[in-house]
Amino acid sequence: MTTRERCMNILHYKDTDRMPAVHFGYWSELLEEWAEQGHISHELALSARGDGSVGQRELDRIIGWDCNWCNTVSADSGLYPKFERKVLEVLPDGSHRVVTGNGVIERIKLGIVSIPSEDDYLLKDRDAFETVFKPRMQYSEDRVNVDRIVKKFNEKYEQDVPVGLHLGSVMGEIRDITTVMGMSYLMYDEDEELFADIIDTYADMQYKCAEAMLATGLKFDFAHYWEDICFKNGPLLSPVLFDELCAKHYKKRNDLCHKYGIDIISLDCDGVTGSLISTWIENGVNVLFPIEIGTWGDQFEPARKKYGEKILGVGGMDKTAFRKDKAAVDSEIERMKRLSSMGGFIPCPDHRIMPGSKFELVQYYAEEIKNIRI
Amino acid sequence: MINYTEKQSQSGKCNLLNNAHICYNVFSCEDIYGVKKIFSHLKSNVLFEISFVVSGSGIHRVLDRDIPCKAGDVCIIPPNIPHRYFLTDTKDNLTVRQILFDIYDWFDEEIAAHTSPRFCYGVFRDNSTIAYATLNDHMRDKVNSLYDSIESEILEQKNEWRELIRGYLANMLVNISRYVNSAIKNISFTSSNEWYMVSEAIRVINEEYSDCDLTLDYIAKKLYISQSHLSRIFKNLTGISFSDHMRDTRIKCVCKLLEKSDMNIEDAAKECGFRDIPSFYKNFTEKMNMTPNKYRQSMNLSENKSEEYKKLLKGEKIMGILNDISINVQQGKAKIVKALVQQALDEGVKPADILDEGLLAGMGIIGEKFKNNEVYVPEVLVAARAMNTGTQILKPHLVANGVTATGKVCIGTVQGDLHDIGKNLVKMMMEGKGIEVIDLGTDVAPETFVQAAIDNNCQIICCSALLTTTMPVMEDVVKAVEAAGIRDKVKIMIGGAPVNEEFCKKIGADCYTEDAASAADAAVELCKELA
Repeated sequence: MTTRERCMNILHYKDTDRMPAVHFGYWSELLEEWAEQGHISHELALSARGDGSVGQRELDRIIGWDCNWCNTVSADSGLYPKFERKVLEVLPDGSHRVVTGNGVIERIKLGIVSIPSEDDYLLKDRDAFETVFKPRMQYSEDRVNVDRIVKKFNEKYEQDVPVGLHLGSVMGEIRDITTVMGMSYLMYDEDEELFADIIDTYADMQYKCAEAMLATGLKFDFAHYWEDICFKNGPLLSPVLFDELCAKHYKKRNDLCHKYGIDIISLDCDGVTGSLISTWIENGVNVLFPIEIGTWGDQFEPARKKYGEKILGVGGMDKTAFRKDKAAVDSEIERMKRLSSMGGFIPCPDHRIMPGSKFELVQYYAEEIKNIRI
Repeated sequence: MINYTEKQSQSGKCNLLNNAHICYNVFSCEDIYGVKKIFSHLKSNVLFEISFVVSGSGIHRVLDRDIPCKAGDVCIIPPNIPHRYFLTDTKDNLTVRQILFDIYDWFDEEIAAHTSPRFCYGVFRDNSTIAYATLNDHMRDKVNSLYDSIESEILEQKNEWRELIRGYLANMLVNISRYVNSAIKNISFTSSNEWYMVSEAIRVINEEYSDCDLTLDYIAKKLYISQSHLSRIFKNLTGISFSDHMRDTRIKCVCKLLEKSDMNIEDAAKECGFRDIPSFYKNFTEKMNMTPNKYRQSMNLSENKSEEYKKLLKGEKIMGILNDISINVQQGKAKIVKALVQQALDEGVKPADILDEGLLAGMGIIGEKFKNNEVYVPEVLVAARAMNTGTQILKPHLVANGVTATGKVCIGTVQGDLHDIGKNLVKMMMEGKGIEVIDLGTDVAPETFVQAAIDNNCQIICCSALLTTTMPVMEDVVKAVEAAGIRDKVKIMIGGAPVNEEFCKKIGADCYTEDAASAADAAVELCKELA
């Protein structure tokens, strides 16, 4: 069986010869560490960063992975054109204030690897939306470069791994444009109609991108969203409001996928996701990913208990075990066996494998996980 | 059968179709407002109801609340809520169009279910009992036209008429729902059913406190909600318990009687609703810091009497402003908070009272709700912004009055970590507890934490980390504090996504909390310990 067949069979509750070894990429600092330790070359450390890249596939082969779940093809479905990224100011401590492609002003420090601190944002009012942002949220044919998309799809498809259609996001990318602070002020205090307009405008554009991608005739194995709208204590906004603002857009995009025969729709959301799952599953999303149990304690079992077999999972393996020892990895493998026995679940590290992870433990996991039989 | 008026509709139409699936009724209401306020004069039915004031004006009595109504008012009322329209003048005219329908008959069960956020129940945001709004001209025409269409389909019953009605009904509900939701900020009565319930409870207490049988249970039944629910929302929204509020209201009544009349103390207590006299004495003395007898004596000093009475009245007004500040902080209304704080200062309210009983009280309630997952990050952020707006106005007055903070904390994300949303939330929550917070920003070196704590006399160093790769720096902060010889003077709190209690103990820090609100509570306690 191919990796594609294994993954798709499991997610359709069909038989498979063995569990595929699926991962979700690496921190670039880890790759540098492994290069320093002599496990891989420095060239490979650089080329293996991108999900599904040639370098990453080579590293997958060395380690023993079958595929990265985030193996998707997407249109240019963000702000178009993006803002020109430029340094606005160099502060006395050496940090830079930069305006990003999304119109957010971030503070970054050279040499520090971290999610940057957000200082300010440009999308604050109706005027900024109508004049600066809305034109960048419109659909145009050049967002979908068919030649590039077909080429990329074929490259991935020939590897016999599942190839996903990236559907963008409904709220996550808006959060990236407005920042958490700006999103909160817009939603709850300043202009909730404007916030709904932003969501609707952006979603309409992404729907049209998906429509154009599917019209190419490419047969995607699954569709995939990125959201990241939850944190340690749950969602970043009220689940009721999330449902009001987003449900219709998930439904519309997912109905389109169903029309084209795509019945596996996964969604990447970090944090504790439990209270948003109903909106997702009632509107067509059916795969939870990456189910961050290690950092946040997110769980798959409660969702399965509540929604039954219509909910599927990819993820759920506590990646911090790779920093510990063989016993910790074995314990995770045992837990993965239990989860896999429910069906409709593919084990995968619960986020990108982090610095400090031991090369030999990752190799060991990738081989052992294949021994799971369902 | 639905017939609210003695005089039937102007068109005489009243249709009941398919086992009361839907009933449509147009009538001209000519009842005169002024009947005794009892529910038996109201009507309720077992179906959902959409009523729409087409023309005229009058009073719409829902439960025991009178709402002035006028053309364009639309109201969706769930089953079994008694209500009725009245006129206030014989010369007035009021035309109301109504549709009654059984939601389960007209829509599938999933859509009609209470857990569904869609359709009908979408209208009843926050479990509101009724949805009430005044439509703009465009919406008014739209709703009126939908009524016309439904009426026409009912009367003619052509092919597939039920399907069309279902569509019109859905159209009407969704449009009203959208309108109500978009206008919700401007509709104080319906913006939240909880506010309505609590304000009703307060009104009933104010009117009936002299009845010693007046209980939480009685009012809860009157409002058609459970006793525990009323108790909970009352405390949440007012900051004090139902029983404390009723006790305070009765004590105010006793004070007035002691001041104005010669009634003996026990009779005054009974007159104001106290049944248990020993308990009355205890409550009165606790509340007023003097016995009832002392109170009467102090009031009877003729030259002081009017002044004290004025003070009492002023006290009520002040409590009203402080309560408004608290409520508007909770709702994140920065501009209103700013104006109210200024108003309170102009009225001569002590800055410390404005801070404690207005701004911090409101933020405290939001903090509790955040801990209980009743509100989310956005509500905390807008509430904190509103509180800070008020604090800016208040700050010079607090300094002038020598008001000091509950404690002093320096906070930052640890070296190598730039992500500061969590840190900012904790800062806001701590400020919401009256703590002075020195924000060291992001990527803060251990020695910077130590120096800031020494320079500013901080009781607490608070470290945040998002990343598993940066959390070990927290241990360096602990070691730096020890090396500087201030470990016994400074507590170290840690928090952030990858951090937990076990890690806190392992590195020798003092406190870890799950969330920002708990961090603020813990900081207050630690400051007390070190005071």
